Amino acid sequence: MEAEARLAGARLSRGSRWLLPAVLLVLLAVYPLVVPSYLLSLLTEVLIYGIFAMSLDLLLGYTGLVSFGHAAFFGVGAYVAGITAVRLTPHMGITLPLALLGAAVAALIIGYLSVRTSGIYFLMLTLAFAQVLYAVAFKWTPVTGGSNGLSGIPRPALGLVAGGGELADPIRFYFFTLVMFLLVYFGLKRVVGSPFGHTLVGIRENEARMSAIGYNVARYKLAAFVLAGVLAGLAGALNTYLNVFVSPALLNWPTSGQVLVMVIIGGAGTLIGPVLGAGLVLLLQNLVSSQTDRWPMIMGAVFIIFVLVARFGMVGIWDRIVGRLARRPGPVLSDES
Amino acid sequence: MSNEWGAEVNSALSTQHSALRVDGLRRQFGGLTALGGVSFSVAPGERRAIIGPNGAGKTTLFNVISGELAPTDGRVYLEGEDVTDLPNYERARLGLARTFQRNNLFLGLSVRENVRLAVQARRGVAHRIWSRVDSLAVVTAETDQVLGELGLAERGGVLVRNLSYGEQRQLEVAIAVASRPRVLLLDEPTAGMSPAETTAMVRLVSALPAELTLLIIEHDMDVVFALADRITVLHYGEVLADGEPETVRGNPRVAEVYMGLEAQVMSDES
Repeated sequence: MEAEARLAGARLSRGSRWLLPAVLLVLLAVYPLVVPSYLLSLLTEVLIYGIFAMSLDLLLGYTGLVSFGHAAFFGVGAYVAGITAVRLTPHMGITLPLALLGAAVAALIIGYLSVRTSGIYFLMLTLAFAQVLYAVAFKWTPVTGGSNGLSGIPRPALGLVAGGGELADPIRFYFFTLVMFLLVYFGLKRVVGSPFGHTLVGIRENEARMSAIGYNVARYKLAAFVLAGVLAGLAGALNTYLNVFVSPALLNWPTSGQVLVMVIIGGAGTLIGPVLGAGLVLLLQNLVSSQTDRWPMIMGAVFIIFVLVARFGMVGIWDRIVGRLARRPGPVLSDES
Repeated sequence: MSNEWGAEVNSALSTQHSALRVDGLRRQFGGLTALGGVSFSVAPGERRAIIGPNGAGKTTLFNVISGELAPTDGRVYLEGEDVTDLPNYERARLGLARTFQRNNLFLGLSVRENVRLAVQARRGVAHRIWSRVDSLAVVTAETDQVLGELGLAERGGVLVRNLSYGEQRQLEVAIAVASRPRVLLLDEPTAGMSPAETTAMVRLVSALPAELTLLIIEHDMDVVFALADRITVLHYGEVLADGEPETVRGNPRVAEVYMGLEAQVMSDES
């Protein structure tokens, strides 16, 4: 009897483990069919910023690197996708790989020069490099459109039908973004559960000891930095495809600040947290900014409240509601929790 | 202990003369001379105790040997190879491991994960980005083995910050042992331990493979005489004496600067 009950319980809990993701997926699939178009583009944007925030969290929550210049890679991805679409071809088979490559090269250079520092120096260096790129985008008018931004970008084409425009329909673009988002989410889930991912957490916990037991810490940090940069570049490119416009503000420091806020509000060191944070920030931004100009102040207040009373963000609050012990950010590595 | 490990240590050492040699090591901190030209060599499989009063330069010596600190002057040779210019992580890969005087652990991770990080580094799989951590059977098995060797088998799932101090000290050694080193530096493994914990630690260290070269900084003279084949006495950054335990014990200058102090400390404590 008892064993049977336990078995049933096990089956139930295994079922419920899949229940929530399944329901979420169905909701995400049905959503575009039932909501007005501005809510559709809002969710598309949440997915894009979700990718951006998850990529930063790989640095902040897992590796313990506080980057204040993550806008650099979002912006490089956005500009490369836009410029290549204007000058070369709108074909995504060309523009997307080039955007990712551009972000990778930028991350490799900036990362190489930054990862040997830590703490406040790392933060300031990443900020400074991102501001340099912002200045380039702002001044290099013939290529980037300068302060006016890059406009006249053609809709992305997949080359499936003549003339492209397969993704011109917002619903199709939403599903395309959703697929990209799920690839990144499950890909990163795999990465943080790998020996490499655990190495990053080890570096976050105790960099000096990792070095003493044989890890080339700088190289692992650089690898994480480049991976995070490439994913931020993906988000930037998707942002260009969505808006067919690139503003230099994407490269400016408030973009880096905003994505940091998303990660921290959502819960650093988890993958779903930053996505929830992106959702909350963008939702609030849309709701509040339509009512009042004091949006930044209200966002600031929300951020302060989270930092003061909910250290592990929205995920931490959820853990408390379902009665789980507050856990440290990062993969749960203890058998007992 | 693992026979495989012993065999590895043996084959690696059979062609070498000294497992570790330091030559004229000097280290200045500003105007302070922490090491004033230290030279000695340690034979393969030897168990060498480094003793000396506080401030004699023992931990600085370990830091220079392991690569945490660069020497101002002098060379470090690991199995005949000059490793002076290598960073600490490369010395670790060459078979040098160390523990720290003050626990230097991954406090937010489980005991098992602490050991596993060292095992996956040695096994060369730490860069794998697309395999699941628990799918690497070799790493899992070796982690469990190390936990068993160091008496932590039952504690694998506990967060390190929740361990007792003595257990954290054991884990400190476990992480170093998990690298399966050929030369192991133990910096005061029994520091702050109760007498019972000290006895357990001596037993754990004694059980390490005989082929392993061991350098141990230790204040507790009972521990030193229980473990060491040879003793090097440091005093103000210089080697005061170097020899077998009985010889060093009989050395009048050692008795003057160190044993006397030790006796004094002992009588203070009692």
